[in-house]
Amino acid sequence: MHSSVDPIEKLTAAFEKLPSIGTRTAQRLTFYLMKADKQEALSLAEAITELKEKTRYCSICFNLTEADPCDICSDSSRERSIICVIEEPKDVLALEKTGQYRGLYHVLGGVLSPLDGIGPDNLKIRELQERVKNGIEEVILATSATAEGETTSAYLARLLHPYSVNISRIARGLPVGGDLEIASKETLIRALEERRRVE
Amino acid sequence: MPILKTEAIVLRSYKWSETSNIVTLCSRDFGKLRAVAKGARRPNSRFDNCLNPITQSQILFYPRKSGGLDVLKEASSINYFPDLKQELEKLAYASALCELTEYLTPDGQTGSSAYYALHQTLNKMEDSPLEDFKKLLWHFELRMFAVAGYRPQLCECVCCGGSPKSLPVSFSLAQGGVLCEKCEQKDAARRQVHPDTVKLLRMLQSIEIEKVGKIQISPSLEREIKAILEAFWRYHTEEYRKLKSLQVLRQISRNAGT
Ligand SMILES: [Zn+2]
Ligand SMILES: [Zn+2]
Repeated sequence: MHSSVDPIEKLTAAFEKLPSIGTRTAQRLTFYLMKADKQEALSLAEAITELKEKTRYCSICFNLTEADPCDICSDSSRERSIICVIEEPKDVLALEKTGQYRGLYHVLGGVLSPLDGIGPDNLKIRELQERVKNGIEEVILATSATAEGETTSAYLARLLHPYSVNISRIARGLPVGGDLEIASKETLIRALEERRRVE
Repeated sequence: MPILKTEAIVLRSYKWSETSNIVTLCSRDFGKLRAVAKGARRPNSRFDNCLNPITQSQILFYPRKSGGLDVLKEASSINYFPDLKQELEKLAYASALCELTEYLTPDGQTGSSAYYALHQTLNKMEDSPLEDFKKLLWHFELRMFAVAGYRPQLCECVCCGGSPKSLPVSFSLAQGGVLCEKCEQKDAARRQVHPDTVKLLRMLQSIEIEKVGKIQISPSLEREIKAILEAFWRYHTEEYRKLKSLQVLRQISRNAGT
């Protein structure tokens, strides 16, 4: 049954599932690839295969990586007593671009959101707790400035309170409702520098 | 096209396009609405935070043409219920109220009882200690069963109107109420419950929200109330399994137990 599906339809449907791609764009991409040079089309397929086969999550910080542990976790020149907690791997890229932060990261994999069925067990929270027990001095909570981002930070602050770590929340000034990735480099640097201690 | 104005509580919001959201609202005057908020995803949108779930806002909207979506024109917030969003467990309870409202309010029903039940319960939760939330949720569930058209009959036998025997009482999931001795044999979907459970449910069903916090419920009765409400739910709606906030609440209580 599956094999009878028209390859054009099949690829269009696959494109349509991607973020920000509607039916018409999906069709345009499919027809582009149909007309494209065979080598070009196959190298796209290969890149996708490689992405899925060669990247994985770092077993320490859960960032996307080729090697496990990732480059940041295995870099001995970074400050190993500070962890910056973020939602998604793309936030690591945004913060690394500032060139200002020299500590380690912890990628939660999302935010707490009961309406979407996302509770503590669905994020890398227990793993964060384990890391904090071992020689960490400061945890910077850098979830986004959305309602869920705030609830998540408040939850983590309460959870980590019993451990002897300084907990801080990055300063506001991030665009309201905005993700880290859309903030400018300057805004991010300021948000990090002006982080406030959570009591 | 006429423009309509009402107060509403945002139940859910999801992405519709790069710049727009679809918002489900429980409104005071027009029942449940599904509306598109154009530009809501843009930074500094005119809707600001007024369309986040669990927010009470005043809205202006263009009603849909047949089969389409309503279109939001303006929103200004009345209450964000900030205290309910500070703590995950409180947020999960408040989210459960929104989900129950979304699933239990029949489409096209324009009565305002769902709106008032939701509004009152969110307000009450805001100034209640966390240990009262469970009872407030049950109180709300019983009110919403009535809105959806299956208010449990807890005094006389739901089948013949006779008086139920004393120990233990049979509860019919299918007919939604207690059964007398004569009628219980005829009902396959019945559950045995403690008479005190029935008494408490009856109290929760009739009491003013202000007094809900004062009710004392032993842990064993709590378990039974929870179980019977859940069974009743499951019997009448497929949607129960989809209630995501309740899954998160179960996660939280499981973690607290370990
Ligand atoms: Zn790593
Ligand atoms: Zn009877």
